[in-house]
Amino acid sequence: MTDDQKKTLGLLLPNAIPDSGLIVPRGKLPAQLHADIEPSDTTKLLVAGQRGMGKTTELRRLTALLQDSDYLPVFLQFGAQPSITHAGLIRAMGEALLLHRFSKLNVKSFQHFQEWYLREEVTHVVEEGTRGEAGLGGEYVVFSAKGKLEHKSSRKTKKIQKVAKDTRELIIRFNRLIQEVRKRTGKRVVFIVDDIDKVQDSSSIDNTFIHASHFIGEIDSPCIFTVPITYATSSYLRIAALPYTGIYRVPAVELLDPQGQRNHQAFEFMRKVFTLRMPFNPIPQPLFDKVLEYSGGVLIDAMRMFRCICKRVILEPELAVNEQVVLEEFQRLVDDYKFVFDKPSLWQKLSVMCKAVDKQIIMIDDALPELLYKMIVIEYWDRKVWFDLHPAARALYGQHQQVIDNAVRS
Amino acid sequence: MMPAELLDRKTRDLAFELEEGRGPKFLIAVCDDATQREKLRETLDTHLSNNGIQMIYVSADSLKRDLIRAVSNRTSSETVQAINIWGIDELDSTGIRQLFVQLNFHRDWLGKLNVPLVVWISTELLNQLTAVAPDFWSRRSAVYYFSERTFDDLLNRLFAKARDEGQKWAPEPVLSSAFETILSSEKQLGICLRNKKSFSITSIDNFIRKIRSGVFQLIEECREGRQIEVALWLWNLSNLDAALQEMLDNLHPERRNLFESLYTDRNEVLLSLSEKLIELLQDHLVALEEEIKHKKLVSVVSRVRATAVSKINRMALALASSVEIPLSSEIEEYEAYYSDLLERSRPEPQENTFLAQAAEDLESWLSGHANKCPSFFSTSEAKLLRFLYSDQLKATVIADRLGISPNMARQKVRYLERKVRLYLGLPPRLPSTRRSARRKLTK
Repeated sequence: MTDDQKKTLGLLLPNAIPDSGLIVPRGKLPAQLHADIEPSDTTKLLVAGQRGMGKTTELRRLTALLQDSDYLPVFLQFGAQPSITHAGLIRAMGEALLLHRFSKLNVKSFQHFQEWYLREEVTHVVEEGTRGEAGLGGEYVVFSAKGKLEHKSSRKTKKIQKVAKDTRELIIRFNRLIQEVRKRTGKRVVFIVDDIDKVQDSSSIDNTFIHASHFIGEIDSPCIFTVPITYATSSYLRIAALPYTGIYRVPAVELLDPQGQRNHQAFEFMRKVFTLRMPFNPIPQPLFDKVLEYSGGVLIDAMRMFRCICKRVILEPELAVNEQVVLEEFQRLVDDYKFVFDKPSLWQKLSVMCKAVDKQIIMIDDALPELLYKMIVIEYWDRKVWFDLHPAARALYGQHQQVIDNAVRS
Repeated sequence: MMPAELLDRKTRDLAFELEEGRGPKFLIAVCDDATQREKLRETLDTHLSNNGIQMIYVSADSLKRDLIRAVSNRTSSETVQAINIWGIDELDSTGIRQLFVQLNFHRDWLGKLNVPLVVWISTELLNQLTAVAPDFWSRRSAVYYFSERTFDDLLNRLFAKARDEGQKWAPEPVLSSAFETILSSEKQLGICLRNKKSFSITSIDNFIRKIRSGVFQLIEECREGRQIEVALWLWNLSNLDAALQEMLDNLHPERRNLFESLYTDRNEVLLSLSEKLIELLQDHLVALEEEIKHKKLVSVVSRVRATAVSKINRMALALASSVEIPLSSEIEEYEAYYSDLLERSRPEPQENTFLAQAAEDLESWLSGHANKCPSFFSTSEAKLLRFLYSDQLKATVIADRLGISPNMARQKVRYLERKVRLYLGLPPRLPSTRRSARRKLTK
């Protein structure tokens, strides 16, 4: 195996983390985010997208854009965690600020911030109510040993009082850290928090970013968070007034428009991405584009198909990549999709959506979040958001239409 | 050493991935038959050990609780170039789920080990892996299907399993399920919006989505030619039969005879409703957001009911105007019923749109842009309307032109005013005695 072949196989692994030289600028998201954070320190932005669409890449581009400017970009990956709380999020942000090589943050100031976490939660049991001798007004009257009349209020004699740690106080402490960094560096701190969407417990994300979103709003610096795709499709989030300036989406690459016409710019972008990652490229240009089309603009799927084709050529050096080879690799993706439909209702959705003339049916389907989560439906953007079935899911239905329809009807 | 040529294509591919070198690879080997799996293991072991590749097999049971510790224990004591997760099928259902959760949760850590990871699994469990560990699945490098199952078999098993597990799976009639979805979601949405305790972004979104999805399903059904069926469902849900019957029952027998045909001709309303149902439902989808924003009641049935009531009103008025009745109690009686109906029905944008259209029809005829007078007015009424529109004529002049007495002309003008008000959907101008009575009541 040549070095180029080895390198290609390595760079096409879905798990591989590309270095900055492999990043191809896509769209204007970093510039848009930059423009949004410019006017105010209270700007809070959300970025949502399906897995593997390039959210992290776009945020890294923003970080690069903000370097050597009036900003101090603090990039942190929250990553896979069981759950999230305000305290946990702010702690991670505080630590990232301390560890930032240009933050010049005083360790003592950080210790003062951390003291909040060292406090213990206290539970008090307190007596409540009135008590007096020979009084009137209690609902029942008892005789004391001395023979005096005593009264007690029967309403509630005891209650458990929980002294919880005040999140607002934590935010005040955190804001002091931000102000100190601003003073020492002369730069505005911007937090870019990636992978919030990878937190396992989605209700904890809601608690942090929706139900008590005012705490997020009180952070004294611009913040950008990646949130689950459901936030981007949420009607309520659009209607309700929350302290976020905007929700940006990172959709799949729109290789075809809703009418099925090719988007040449999108193809150009994908070609650039893979040319950089494929120093060994045995695929002729028209078939290369065909693979891209089969991927539905999902980079990770294109990566997998390209890698498998390259691997086949390495294993069978005489093999000339033709339409059949490309089709076989696409079929592997179609076969994988058989197992993504893990319940009957999803097969029914597939059947309905494949038959529907109007793609709008996908947009308003009650199972849309699940379909997006499972990558059965892919989100695209062309002046406005639209959705379509992944080509592999559509092909799966095309190959087994009768069997699926029979099963769904039975 | 077993020559690579002797391995079948899939095994050779898997062996290549393991041999090719270190890298964050997630490989999934699907094999149902235990004997075949053992044989494959043996083949790979022989092939790879001859090439100096050290593989380890970690039991799934040891990973289900603390994957990191279990893998670390093995990888720190041995030189490892590939890790196999073995024995998943031997776990119970809880154990399997625990393991998949661990795989999904620690995918980054597993990737950072920078060695190929092979998950040996049966076809039966692959569905569960994609569902419980979707992030792990999305990062898979390749899947090797060593057992082939027909698509029919896969689907049959999935549907049978769903039935066995008591999942509510049945191909429900589309309309009933769509209506059930809409009505229950509208109700729940109302509770959610008004009650802080039940408020949850996920639920609200879910209800909005369900309402939209249900309404869209109705639109699709209409497009497929089932608009009468959908209209009938909405008619029944609006309880309009009973409302019509009640209205007729409350009329004086003579007037009841006059309006009786409203009940028998209700199919006309139904047909008219079905004709504009798609538009009506689409309007409902548009108005939905505004209603939610203002925490108003969302109800597709109310919207459709209001449109149907509006149509019934017109039919009733047409009946009333078809007989040359003087200004009399039929209309007043109907007006009373109508104003009551208006109060009971929430004003709907659809109705306003409808009435606006009616006003436009009348206006364009009066101004001479249209040739046809709205059929709501008789020929003599149309003539009088034209007189009144063209000039502010006195009763004597009208009487002269129409060849009737001035008194009769005044009566006709008053009658026509009432008819126009009703046609335009404006509340009737109450006689002075009733106005004062109402004022007293209000005070």
